[in-house]
Amino acid sequence: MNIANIALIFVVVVTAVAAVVYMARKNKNEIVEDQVEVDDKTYNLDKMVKFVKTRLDEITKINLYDIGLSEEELKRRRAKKYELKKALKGCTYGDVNDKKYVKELIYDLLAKEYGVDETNISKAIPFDTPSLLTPQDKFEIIIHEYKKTFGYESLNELIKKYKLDDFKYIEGESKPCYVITNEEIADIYDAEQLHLDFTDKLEVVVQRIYQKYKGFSSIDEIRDMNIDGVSGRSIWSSRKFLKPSCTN
Amino acid sequence: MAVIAFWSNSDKETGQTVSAATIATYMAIEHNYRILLVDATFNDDTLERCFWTISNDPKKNVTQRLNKGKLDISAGAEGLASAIASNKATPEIITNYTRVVFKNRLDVLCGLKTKDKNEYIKITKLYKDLLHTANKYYDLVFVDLEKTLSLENTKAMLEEADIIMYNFTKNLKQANEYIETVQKNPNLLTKQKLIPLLSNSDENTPYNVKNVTRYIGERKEIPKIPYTAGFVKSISEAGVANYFLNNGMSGKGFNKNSDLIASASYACETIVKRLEELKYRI
Repeated sequence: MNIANIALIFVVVVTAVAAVVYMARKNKNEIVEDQVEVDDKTYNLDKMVKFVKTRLDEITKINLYDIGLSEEELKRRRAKKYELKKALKGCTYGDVNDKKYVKELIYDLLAKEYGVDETNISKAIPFDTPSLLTPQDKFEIIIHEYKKTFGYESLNELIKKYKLDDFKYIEGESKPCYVITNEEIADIYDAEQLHLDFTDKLEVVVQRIYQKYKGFSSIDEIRDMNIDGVSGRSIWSSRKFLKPSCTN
Repeated sequence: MAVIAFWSNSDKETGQTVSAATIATYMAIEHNYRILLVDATFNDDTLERCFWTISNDPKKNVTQRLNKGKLDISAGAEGLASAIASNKATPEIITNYTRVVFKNRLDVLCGLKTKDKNEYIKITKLYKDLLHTANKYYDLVFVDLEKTLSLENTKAMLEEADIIMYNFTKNLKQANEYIETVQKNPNLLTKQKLIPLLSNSDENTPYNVKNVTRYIGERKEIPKIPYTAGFVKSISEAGVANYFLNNGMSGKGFNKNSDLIASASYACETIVKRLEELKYRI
């Protein structure tokens, strides 16, 4: 063995040791978010969406080879990670099962990690103060409750029960039209006298987060119902269509 | 192939979980079956502790420290329940949520971590489907059920089971409870399904296996899991699998260990025979 070989071995060994020390220090310095910092805005919807987004990113992007698992454990964790990735992809195409799976995961993340409980859930949607609920909140709560009994027929049942498909005149319009107004939703909400427990409230919040993050926004739940379809048009284009003189 | 439920109508200590772990481990080593052992009990980690040491201190939990908690979500029974609720549970993916004791032989689906009874009830409603799906992939599914019939979910899982191992220990009250339960639930606990199992048995007491067999009106000697000091130590030190591997699988001899192994062997034979009988009956 000549000097060059010894020097080469020395360089390799030193490099390997340095790499190990570097990795160990890097891991040590990594910030571990054991507890969520709580302030006034922690439990609003935007912060929750951000948290869910970050956590799901972490779960799907973690390098499994880094954490020293056994071969069998690695295989299983990889399969689970793949399953989650597949569901996150599938739900954007409207797959109902993938949507359920992702929603279950969001539910777990919020309840077990983010610390959402009975005392703070109303900061996301004011369930305890009906006067502060928006028409969208009220509609989503009604649909959630109807879904328990009627499943994907909820919208049909709601329309049938309250005759929402009647041809009606609305303020400022000369011709009658098919429309469901905010007032009607508010009246239905009052008439139904719904009592939500914590699980129901969290499910409504999870649906809202899901539709903001992966779903189809406000039509997400309607789209899944047994209906012929949902068609939409932006306000700007519809105004232009109805009133060609409209410029904005 | 078959679901074997371990259950007892007594809310007192019956040695049910340990019996399930013992028989499943012996079966996995001795027979060429792919076995899943499911823990369906509430707020009880005895089954997990039979095979693994549990550290509640996150600072000591190496896996948690290494993965920074990023993988713990959607794991275990909770994760599998989510998959079932969203119709994503194929027989193959059940293995992803289990822990391996013997590769391709024995997997354990640990119990739910929740301490909220309502959440437990909500999740275990899905266990009937879980057992049904797991049964397509595994040769045998052993399930350790919550005691008594106070929960509808337990009843549903007992209905799903092909064999019910009714556990009781060496005392008169529990033997009487067994007789009473069988008489009260003739449709659920049919003679074809039911196998009584004497846990923590001791041949030196009046309630030894022969006397108990006679007392409960069985013709053939019922299976037993004898009290063995060495085995009790293994249970509390997460060494059930190692116990069988270290002590050999011979049931011959007159020491306590060989008695346990012979008893486990007899219990396995009884189950296998009963399954054969059920197969012919179908």
